[in-house]
Amino acid sequence: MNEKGFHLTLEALISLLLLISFLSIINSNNNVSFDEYYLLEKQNDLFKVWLISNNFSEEELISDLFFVFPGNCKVLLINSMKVFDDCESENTLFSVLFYFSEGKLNKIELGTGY
Amino acid sequence: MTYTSKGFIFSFDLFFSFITALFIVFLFFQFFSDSFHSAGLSLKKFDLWRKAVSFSDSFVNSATTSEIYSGLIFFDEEKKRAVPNLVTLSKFKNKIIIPDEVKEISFEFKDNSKEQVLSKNLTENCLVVSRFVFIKEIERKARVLVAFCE
Repeated sequence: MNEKGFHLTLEALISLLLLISFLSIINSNNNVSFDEYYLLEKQNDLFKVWLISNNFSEEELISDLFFVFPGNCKVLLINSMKVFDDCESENTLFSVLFYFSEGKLNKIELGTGY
Repeated sequence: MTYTSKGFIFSFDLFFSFITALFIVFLFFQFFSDSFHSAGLSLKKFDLWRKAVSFSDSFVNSATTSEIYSGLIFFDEEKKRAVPNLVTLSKFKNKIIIPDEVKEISFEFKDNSKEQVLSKNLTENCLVVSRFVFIKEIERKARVLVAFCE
């Protein structure tokens, strides 16, 4: 055809539709949430309370863990020794506490699943 | 589509392709409509979470030396600093600023006992935020549960 103008062929139309379909498939992530921040805040609460009460016995720490995170899986390591672990979740958030007691530096690692 | 001097012939093939095209365009708009709707709901929920977590944070982490307290935590006069997560319940007797959205505040202990310090009627869309504190007067650990509603 020699007329001036614009011809939208069937192939072009199909290509455009495929492009639109492709754009529709791209899933925008709307699942914004405070879950991770909230978990971190609670882990920090635990650390602060442990420092205030100054009781670092394993039984007390585990009992506090169950009290604060009743619905989450938990991992607790004291000086890199695993004390408690019931986590099978892939998403586990860890926080670390260093404290000085009985003349040495101690480390507590706390993980909670979400 | 065939062009003639009198016009054009609209074939069945093209007719079906237009129907298909319209259907895909419809699906496209439907997807975006759903997407925007769910984004709106998600943001609303996110906003409620943000307010609730921020309030609970100020509740267990902040204190001032003024008579009006925004939080419950102990202020160490000697060291001139607030001690996060160390709560003094007597501060509830003072004038505490609590937003209208906060409907319930209670303390839960490990032995399942509970002390409710604030109770209002719950409205729609509420969520409960829990924080862990040490109560200075009774020297016990407790969970603070704050019910926050829209």
